[in-house]
This record gives sequence, structure tokens and C-alpha cells, in this order.
Amino acid sequence: MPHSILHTVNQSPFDKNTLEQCQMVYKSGDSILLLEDGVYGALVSQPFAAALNDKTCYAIAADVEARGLNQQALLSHIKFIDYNRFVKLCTECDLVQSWY
Amino acid sequence: MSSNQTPAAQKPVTKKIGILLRHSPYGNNLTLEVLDAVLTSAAYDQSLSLIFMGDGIFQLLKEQSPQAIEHKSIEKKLASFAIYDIDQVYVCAYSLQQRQLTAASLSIAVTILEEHELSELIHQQETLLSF
Repeated sequence: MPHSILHTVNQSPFDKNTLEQCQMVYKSGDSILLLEDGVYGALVSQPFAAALNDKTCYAIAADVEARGLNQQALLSHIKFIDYNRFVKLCTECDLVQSWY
Repeated sequence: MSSNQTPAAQKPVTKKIGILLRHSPYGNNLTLEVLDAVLTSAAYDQSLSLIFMGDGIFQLLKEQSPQAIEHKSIEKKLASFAIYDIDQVYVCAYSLQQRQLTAASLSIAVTILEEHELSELIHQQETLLSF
């Protein structure tokens, strides 16, 4: 029985290919969490945005707001969450993989 | 488990551990740290799968000569894997292609996996360690 994975991404997709690598391993039932500079992955303009559309995706709201990104065009299917929800996500998935 | 068992009498727990290596060698100490973790886990008979992807593939290149930059050879560490019976070594086909490399460029025997095979393998693990 395959395990479900929470993928955390903390690097900008404009600068690093961590989000791309994560999307390669992603499987239905998994979740992706964008945090720190990873939240630039929530922008409509980011290079791997199209591949993110069919995936369950979260972003830390405080990191989005800190960078002024809530004033920009963001991918509509991303859920913006706080750290309490992040902890809950960790417990809901079998494994956590950090793409740093 | 009965309460009078000493830890030494307990059956060792074998876990499927997936180790992802995604960073190039020599730019940091991550690679040497992961190799130490790998050899320790192997000594405790854990079921290890080493998964090289992205720039991690550069760790596998032949004929590394890091003497002049005063760094231990990653290639020599990798060569010691055979002694520890670490033979589940996987490489991402896409990452190889991107870098125009083939298995012939690599210093140890590996299994090359397509993207979906790589994803399956990672999802089968009970623990993931990311370096």
C-alpha cells in the first residue's frame, strides 16, 4: 500500500527547481505545502504553475502576506493556511518530504 | 511485547528507508553527512534505497579528484557501499537526460528509473530522509 506524502517546498520556483522535482514525485493523495520563499510558487506567473493545477496545494498565509503576494495574481486552487493547520497536515499524511 | 524483555532481546526493527540525494557534492557537507547516515543505517540492517535525483546525480560521476580543494572523495565513499551490501541505488532518468549523462558516466552500478517508477518507489518507503 503506497503511503501519502506531504511535500514541503521552501524555495522560489523562479530560482530553484525544487517545486519541479516535487511535482515529478507527487501522486494523487499527496499534498504540497509552500512555505518561506516557496510561496512564490503560489503566483500565477511562476514557471511550473500549469503542472500545479491538478494537485492539492497549500501555502502558509503569513509567508504570502509578508512578501506582499496577496496583492498579486495567485493560483486560485491553493488553500492559505496557518501553522496549526500545517501541523495537522503533517499528522494526516504518512510521510513528510522536505524539498529544500 | 512483554515487560520483562530487555532491549537486547527485542527483535531488531527493519524499516524501509528511502534516502533522497538531490544536491551536488563538494559545495557543502551534506553529501558526507548523508553517506555517514547511510553506512550507519546499513550496519543496523535497515532496508535502504538510495535515490539520486537532480544535481545529486553529480555525486556519482567517475574520476573525482577533490585533493586540491581539501575535501574527502565522495566517489571513494560511494565505492564502500558494496562492502555494506547497499545495492539498492536508483537514479532518475530525467535528471540524467537533462545533464546529458548515461550509466557509463557513473562510478557505481545503478538502476535507472522513469519518473512514475521513481514516484512509486518513494511512496513505498516507511521513512524518507532528504539530503
